[in-house]
Amino acid sequence: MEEVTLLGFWPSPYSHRVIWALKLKGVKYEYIEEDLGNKSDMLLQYNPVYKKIPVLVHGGRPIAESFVILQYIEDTWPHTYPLLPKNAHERALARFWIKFGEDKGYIIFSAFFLVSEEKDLGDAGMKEVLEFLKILEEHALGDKKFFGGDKIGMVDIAYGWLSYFFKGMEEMRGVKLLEPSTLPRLHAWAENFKQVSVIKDNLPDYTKLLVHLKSVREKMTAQNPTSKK
Amino acid sequence: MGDQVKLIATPQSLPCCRVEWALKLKEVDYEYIEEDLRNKSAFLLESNPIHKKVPVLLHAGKPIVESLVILEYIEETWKDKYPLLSDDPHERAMARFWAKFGDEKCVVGAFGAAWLTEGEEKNKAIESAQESLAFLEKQIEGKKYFGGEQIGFLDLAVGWIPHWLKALEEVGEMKVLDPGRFPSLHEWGQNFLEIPLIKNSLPPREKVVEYFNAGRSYKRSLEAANKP
Repeated sequence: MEEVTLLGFWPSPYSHRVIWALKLKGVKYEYIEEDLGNKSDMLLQYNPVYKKIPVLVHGGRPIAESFVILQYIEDTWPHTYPLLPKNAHERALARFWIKFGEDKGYIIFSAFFLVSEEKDLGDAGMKEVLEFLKILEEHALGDKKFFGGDKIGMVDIAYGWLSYFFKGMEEMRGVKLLEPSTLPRLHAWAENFKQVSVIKDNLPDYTKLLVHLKSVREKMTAQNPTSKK
Repeated sequence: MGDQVKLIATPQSLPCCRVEWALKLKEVDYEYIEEDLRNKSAFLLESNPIHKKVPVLLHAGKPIVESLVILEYIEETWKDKYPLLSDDPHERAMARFWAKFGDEKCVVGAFGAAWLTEGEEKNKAIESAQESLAFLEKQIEGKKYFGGEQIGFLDLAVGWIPHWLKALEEVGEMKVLDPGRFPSLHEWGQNFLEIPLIKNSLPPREKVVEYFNAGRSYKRSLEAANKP
């Protein structure tokens, strides 16, 4: 059995995507915590292109980019807990929605971490985030319990950050976007997702996460002093 | 017919061509529906309501969008002919990783540099695009194609480089793919364009140049309109 190692970072939702997938599949792995302020030679060697976590190393061969890693995990351990549907069209939809979230990453990051003044929902960036969440709720989730149907799948894992990390982001910025009144189905999904035992048992401490998010924002806004209008 | 395949596309669009190449390699019969992007059809808007873009593949009436997602769909649906991806999970991961890199770094980098007017910023953008291409150069070194002895998923994903990048260089008045700096990538490009299926389906260079110029004017007019 070839060794599996995960280079991760404790507050990172991308790191957690990989952890959740490995745990759902029952794959044993060694976890190595990276200090992103002082990247190890191993990380730089394994991910010379982006120099980021997560990196999965299997039998000495590294794979980077969490979505690529998730698909690798699905291809390598196909017999336990399928993360993607069997039907090719549904698989295409799953990939589409995961990419949709990835493509919105910068908009979400900017709205929460780069704007230096406290703004309310009138802020244009926050409006875009809310719009994104509404599309997800209406078109990706619909009336299903999970994006994957009755059980969580790759899309749920990809959006897992919304169920937990996002709350920290909202609290940090003093906004409330994902509420039962505004996004009832998505909010319910978030609550259900967090209750799945593999997820529940693999989440970072919320208080520590909030402290971390605040320090990231301070660092980012110090580097970008002018606020967006 | 129940299993009919349709492709909504524009001839000069690089993501559309990727999909056509995959369909042709797999010998899939399809109906080509040309889209005028300046006057989007109700059919396109209905088939791709989220992004309203081409390409859209329709199979038995069901739409699939996003070119790399479509490639994966084509690979999974028509398994018997011409595999685009290896069976080995690690090689599949590498193809996916580099395809994503190609789109996020090389396409974005090259287009970004093309749209800038001459100056320091443009030079920096060109250098950045070249740094991204350097990674692809390393990947292709010693290989005929990214897929090995025959073209595969990654060749299709970065297949825009030998033809579209040339057009972009013309429109952007810049040189990015310098054969001296990227000998292996350049040679791969020449080999790729020689493949009859690819050669016969390339849109004429002048048309691609025209398409890019139109895109750049449109973008500039949007920017001018958005200025206070």
